[in-house]
Amino acid sequence: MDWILIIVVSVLFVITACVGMIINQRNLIVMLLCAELLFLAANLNFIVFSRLHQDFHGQVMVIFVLAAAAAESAIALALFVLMYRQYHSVDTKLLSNIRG
Amino acid sequence: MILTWFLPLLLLLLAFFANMMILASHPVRSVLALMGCFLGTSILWLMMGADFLAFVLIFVYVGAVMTLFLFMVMMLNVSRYADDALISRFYRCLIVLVTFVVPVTGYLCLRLYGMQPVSLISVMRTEWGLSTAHLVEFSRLLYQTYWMPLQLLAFILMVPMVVATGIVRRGVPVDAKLQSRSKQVGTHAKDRLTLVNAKKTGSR
Repeated sequence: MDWILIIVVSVLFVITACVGMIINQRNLIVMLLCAELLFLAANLNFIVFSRLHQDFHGQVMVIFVLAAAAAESAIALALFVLMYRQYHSVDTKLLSNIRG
Repeated sequence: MILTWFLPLLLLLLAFFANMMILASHPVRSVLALMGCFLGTSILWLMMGADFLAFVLIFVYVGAVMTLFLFMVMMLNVSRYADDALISRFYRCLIVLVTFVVPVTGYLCLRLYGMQPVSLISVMRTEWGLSTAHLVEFSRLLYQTYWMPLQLLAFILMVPMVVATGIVRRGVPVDAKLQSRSKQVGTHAKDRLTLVNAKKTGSR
């Protein structure tokens, strides 16, 4: 069945996002984009299983996940702007100063 | 034939965009690749019958959130350390191999050896066709069963907007010349004008 294919793609999204977070540890923006990809994979799974079980509760959950993702993006972008204003960069190495 | 191959090609494109997102040398390209992922996924959702969510994804997410991302990345000068984030060519090839080449090859092998996938589009047409029954059911759930969480969601969406505005808001500069209405109203004529005797001042 082709729904297995779609689930495979959502698993690929999760793997890609995790690998992306590891290899772009210095780049906060790409890390945030990887988090967005994780949300997208979760949404894809919700819709596939909602479609398989003919149950629309999964699709309603997608609305909630989308809203949470949008809120998270807004806050994160504001924090990035603040960090850029402070350090003139969004490099995660600079955040290690918090350790003291 | 086209319909049968459309889904695998779309999924291939999605995997390609996801790879491009994490391997791009510049964050702007990463954002554009993620926008491609979202657009492809919305097509997938349309094929699966979640048309309302597909349009929400395009209009709200790609149109607003990702555009905000794009503008912010363009505004910040993040290209300076883009080269530092690059990994070695070996790891780059390994990532592409694991997340792109192996799944695609596996799928093609399965397909060549007789596992014929059913086209989701044909399933959609036979079950729902052009009817709006699924939309009615979805709306009933959203606006009747989940009406309270939906209101909470609207509030949750409003809070980050206010918080983000508060975070990035600059305070008033120390040397700023501000207008104070209360001071303006409370002044007297003698405070505004001081008469100086020029002769006396000149004779000093």
